[in-house]
Amino acid sequence: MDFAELYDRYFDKVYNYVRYHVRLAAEADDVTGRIFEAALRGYETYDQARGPAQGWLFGIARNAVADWARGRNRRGEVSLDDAPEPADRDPRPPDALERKEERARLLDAIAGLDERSRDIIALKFSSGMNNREIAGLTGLGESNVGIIIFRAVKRMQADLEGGKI
Amino acid sequence: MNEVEQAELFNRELDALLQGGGSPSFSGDQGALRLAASMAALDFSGESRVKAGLRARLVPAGEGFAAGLRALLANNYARAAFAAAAIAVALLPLARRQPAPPPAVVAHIAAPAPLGAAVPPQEAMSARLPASLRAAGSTGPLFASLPMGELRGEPIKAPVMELNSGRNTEGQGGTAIIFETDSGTFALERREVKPEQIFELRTL
Repeated sequence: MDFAELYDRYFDKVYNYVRYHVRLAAEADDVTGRIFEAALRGYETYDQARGPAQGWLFGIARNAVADWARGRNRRGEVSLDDAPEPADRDPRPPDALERKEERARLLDAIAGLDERSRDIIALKFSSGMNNREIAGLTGLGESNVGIIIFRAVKRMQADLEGGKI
Repeated sequence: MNEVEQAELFNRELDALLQGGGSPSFSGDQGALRLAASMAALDFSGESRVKAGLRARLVPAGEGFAAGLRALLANNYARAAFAAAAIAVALLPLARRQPAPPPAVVAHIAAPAPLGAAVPPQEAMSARLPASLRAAGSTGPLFASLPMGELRGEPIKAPVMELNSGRNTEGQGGTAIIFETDSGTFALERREVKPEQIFELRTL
């Protein structure tokens, strides 16, 4: 697989993974760009025999997201994740707006999770990796990953149904 | 059913859902699986504004470097040249460590004359040159010290500043001597000063 194929196959997944952590689209673009720049730098030395490219790429993505979070905390920025979305003047049809609101509610629920649960949920729903692959990437046990996913989804369900979000 | 069993059942049904294997049976917690199905349908990639631009920037760079390296190593002449260059670079530190013999001119440089010695005539200086340089009509060795004449101090012919008058004065908590010259009036003060009298204070 050459770099172009890697990019085409995984860009959407990586971007979705980043969006689970980085709420603003512009910032997510920035972080995703840094991930693929790092992937390009390391691609010549990447050994395919050591594992699938997916795990390697999402390892880079996890580091980039952690760097972004550290940088934001260091700068003491107020998280825009907590700010309300600007008033929507989107002329799109009502069902599209409803979908957008639904997505915003889901992201709010994800943002309410602790950092580790959010990362596992992001990997599960965006990367296409199974629990064993996620366990290999995160260093957790496979059954532990399953329980974290279960608890996280239940927590989100409670938040959404309980009117917290 | 305990939590571990619930989690196993949930994850089995979730994997079936994510793999697109038809509608899940929802035998476990239906509300949680419905939420998981909503999350599985989430796709933000359409909101990215850099996808195409980033690809246009990165992919040619990746292909250019990889293709260039492959082409270089595929060419036998280029490979041999690359190997020769690598060997030359590896041997460069050894070549630098060989001490070079001192040039003949340096070996014949005369000791510098002591300060205050009389300047020798030109013929005497030429006689101290190596024969090879004398034949070439050279006037002197390179980087040789030339004897200088004796250093002498000369008195200042005119005073730099003439004092017209001077007086002691007191004021502002100290004493001072006022010098008046043709060039101007100068005060040599001795008094206590506060930092703000020396430095300019500015409030931001």
